[in-house]
Amino acid sequence: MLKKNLLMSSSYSFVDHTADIAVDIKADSLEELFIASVQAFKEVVVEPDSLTSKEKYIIKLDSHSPESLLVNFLNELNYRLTYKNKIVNNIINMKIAQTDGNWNLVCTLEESDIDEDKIKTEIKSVTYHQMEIKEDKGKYSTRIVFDI
Amino acid sequence: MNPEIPDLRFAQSGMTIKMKVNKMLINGIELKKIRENLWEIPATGEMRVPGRIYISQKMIEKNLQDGEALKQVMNVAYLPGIQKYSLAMPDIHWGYGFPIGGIAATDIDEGVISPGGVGYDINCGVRLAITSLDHNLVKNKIDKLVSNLFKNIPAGVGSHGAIKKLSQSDIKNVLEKGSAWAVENGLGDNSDIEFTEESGTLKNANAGSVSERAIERGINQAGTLGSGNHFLEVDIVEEIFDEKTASVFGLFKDQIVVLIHTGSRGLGYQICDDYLGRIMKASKSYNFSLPDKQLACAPINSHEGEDYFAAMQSAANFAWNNRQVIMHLARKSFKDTFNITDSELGFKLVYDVCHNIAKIEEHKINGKTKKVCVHRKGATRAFPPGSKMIPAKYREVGQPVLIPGDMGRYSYVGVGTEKAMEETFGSSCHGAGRSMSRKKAMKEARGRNLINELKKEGITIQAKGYKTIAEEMPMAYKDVSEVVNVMHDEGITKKVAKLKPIGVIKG
Repeated sequence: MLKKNLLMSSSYSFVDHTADIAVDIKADSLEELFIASVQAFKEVVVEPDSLTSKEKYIIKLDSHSPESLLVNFLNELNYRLTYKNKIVNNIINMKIAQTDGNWNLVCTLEESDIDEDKIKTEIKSVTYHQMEIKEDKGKYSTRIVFDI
Repeated sequence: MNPEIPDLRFAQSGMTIKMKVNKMLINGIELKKIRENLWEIPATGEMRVPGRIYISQKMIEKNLQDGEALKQVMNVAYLPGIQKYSLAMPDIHWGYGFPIGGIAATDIDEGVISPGGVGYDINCGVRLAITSLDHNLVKNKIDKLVSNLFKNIPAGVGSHGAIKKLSQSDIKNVLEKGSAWAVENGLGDNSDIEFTEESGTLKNANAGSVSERAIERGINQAGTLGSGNHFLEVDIVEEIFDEKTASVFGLFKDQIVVLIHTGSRGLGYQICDDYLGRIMKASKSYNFSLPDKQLACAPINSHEGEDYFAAMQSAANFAWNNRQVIMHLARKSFKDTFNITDSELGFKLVYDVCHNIAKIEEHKINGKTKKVCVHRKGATRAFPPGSKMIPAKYREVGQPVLIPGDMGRYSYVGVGTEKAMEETFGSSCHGAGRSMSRKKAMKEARGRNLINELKKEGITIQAKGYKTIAEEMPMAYKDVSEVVNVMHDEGITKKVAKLKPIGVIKG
């Protein structure tokens, strides 16, 4: 089913995958593509009503390609979930820039404590399989496969 | 369209095609029949070798119609230095990078190593332990046994705390010694080491190649099952196909045995992730042409390749230690449940095999013995009689090959053959393989009580959450008998015994 974000022009839809979880994401900007990816990630790992307290956290990353930046970003969220028991709750600000061939991300987010029992799916990692961030006339898209 | 090549793109689920064919075309991928259960994808484009899949026509028609897994067999054939064929076993299904059930051997001088050819769950594997108990003794206490197993062995997402949290020096030793660490710390016997692939230790592991984050994720997870398709099963030996080999493995009819399936947990996932990133960054300088980023690879003898190999071996050792600790906890659970001594219980390891790994092995290529790096991604080593790589006790018959099915039907014990050495780099299938996505399985499970359904079949299950039971329902998997029969009929692995589950714990 296509999930639309009403505040932004982005959407994601899960694709049937035999062993893992695949999702196709579309958005009007690279930042929105990353934010929609976070929403898909959250839908995989937790029930929407299981989030309570909130605290601010900043993630800064750089990488050699936008795909690798997206994988690293989602894996950072997954690490915080599985090791620190923190789940991203809300993205306050997301900036992505390319300088000297390097892709940089600064993301300010709110996260909540989560009990291990409330995590519905363990993602081993975000994979690069079939991931290709494409831009066509200002529209961005990619597929993400989560190894579970 | 060529009339000799049936176009199966529009085949409906459940459609029966009785005609036997010599060629098929699936989503533009040509498959040529070599033998009854062996199909070849000719090398096209930048494929360096053809693809070969051990599978029946019926299974192709039923399970491979989307073409995704076949495309992955073709993609693996792009790897520099790949030898003979990009192979897949009958439990093949769509993975990431390699298909699940994929095997590739690369030249150690001119070839590459690919973290995607091993997977995130490095040394995910299976161990089989026997007991002296028979079904009659256990059947009335199976609920209590399952409950004790579930209490003593942490399962589920992020599960931890099976044993005391490891110190930094402990974790270094686990990474470099594998199962031996558990045995040195009273969590097993020396015979457990003898009956583990590679004696439970890959010697070139280097804890220094493992990131702090990987250690952080693994330090509290020794002895934990995790979630997803990982499990511990109490089985009965339902059928023996080969009395002599079964006897060598210590198996008899109606015997109670234990199957444990798990891997290197968060530590392995992090190592794969760390090195994929590093290799991907370096890959521009190698200029390899690869059709999938997940196949990122480095020359085996490059810095990146060598460091990944050392870290991967460390994760493999962590996984062997993990299964060793779980086995010790299972032994304790049996003793507590039945209030018996070690000698009365007779809990012994038959074998422990890994099915996500890259290993340097010697194989015959074009008549010459050559060292190659064998990637097994969802495939089990299956060495033949006489191999010096298997315990002396098994050299007369061959290596035990452990093939779990689903939690409702059965699993198999097989034995390695010389033909596997000739054709599949000494490898066999690793399980049933999923036939249904988790989403589809959840839909199928809606409105059903799977716990009761399994109970009616004589199987007690305890899991952290019902979602796992639904996603892992028996019908979500292929019938493992079909998979094993392909391997048996092709002479790659011979059937020894069939196991039937009576108790299951899952995450």
